Amino acid sequence: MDYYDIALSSGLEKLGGMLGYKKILVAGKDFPVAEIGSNENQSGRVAIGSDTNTLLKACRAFASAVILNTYAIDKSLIEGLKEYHTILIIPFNQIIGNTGFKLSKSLYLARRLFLYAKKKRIEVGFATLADSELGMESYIQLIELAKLIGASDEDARKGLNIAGRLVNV
Amino acid sequence: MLVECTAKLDEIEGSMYKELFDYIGALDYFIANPRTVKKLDEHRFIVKVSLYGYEKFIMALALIRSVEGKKAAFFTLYASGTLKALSKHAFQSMHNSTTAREGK
Repeated sequence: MDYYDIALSSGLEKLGGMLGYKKILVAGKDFPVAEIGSNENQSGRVAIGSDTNTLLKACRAFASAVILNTYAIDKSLIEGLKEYHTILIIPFNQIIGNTGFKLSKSLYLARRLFLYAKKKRIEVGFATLADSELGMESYIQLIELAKLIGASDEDARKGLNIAGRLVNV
Repeated sequence: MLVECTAKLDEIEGSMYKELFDYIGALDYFIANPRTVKKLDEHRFIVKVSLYGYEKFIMALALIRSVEGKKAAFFTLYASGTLKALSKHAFQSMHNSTTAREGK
């Protein structure tokens, strides 16, 4: 199985081979980013944000995937993802940067979000969404982090493979 | 485990295990019992970890972002049960690493 990661800044894709990924996708370069708040058809685009209402709007405009920058559960967004068969990508950038109590809280919230999405049978992907080398993880580490938030080994590996579909959109 | 560090290993090696201890916790650290077996260059090294604690070791290593105030990230590049396989993989991926870093 090939593994993919999503990063925010270009230049990080060069680390892909070393970290075990087939490719590190850069948002806006390897796949188009959805215009948040726009009423136009967002087919083939990926919506990135933390406001669940605008993400739901992008979802209704047929965005391919949604990267939720917050781990808060919004039931209407989850229902929207299910209805429009949109992929949910959980980024690890908030977990990786935190320590102590904040880290525990982020892990708890991410776990809750993942388990709720899994219960609703939504396709869930994982990514680091890194903006520098310090935010990156190897594929082995990303699989273990996915397991930490409740994914099985199979879910974790599938979750790292899902981003590959965004290249062809 | 074949591990790569963004900082120079000589500067942070001692403190790295302290940091790992903080993340894994006393009760699990002795089960994982991580030890540096071989230093390959100033950024890469091989760590021996118990089979019962390797998952927690990988998770903890993934979460460390600073050691003694210095910014440092650790990447687990490969996991294997034998030193021979790890050394072979390290040699093969050495080129990838060098070109990636020089390309930045």
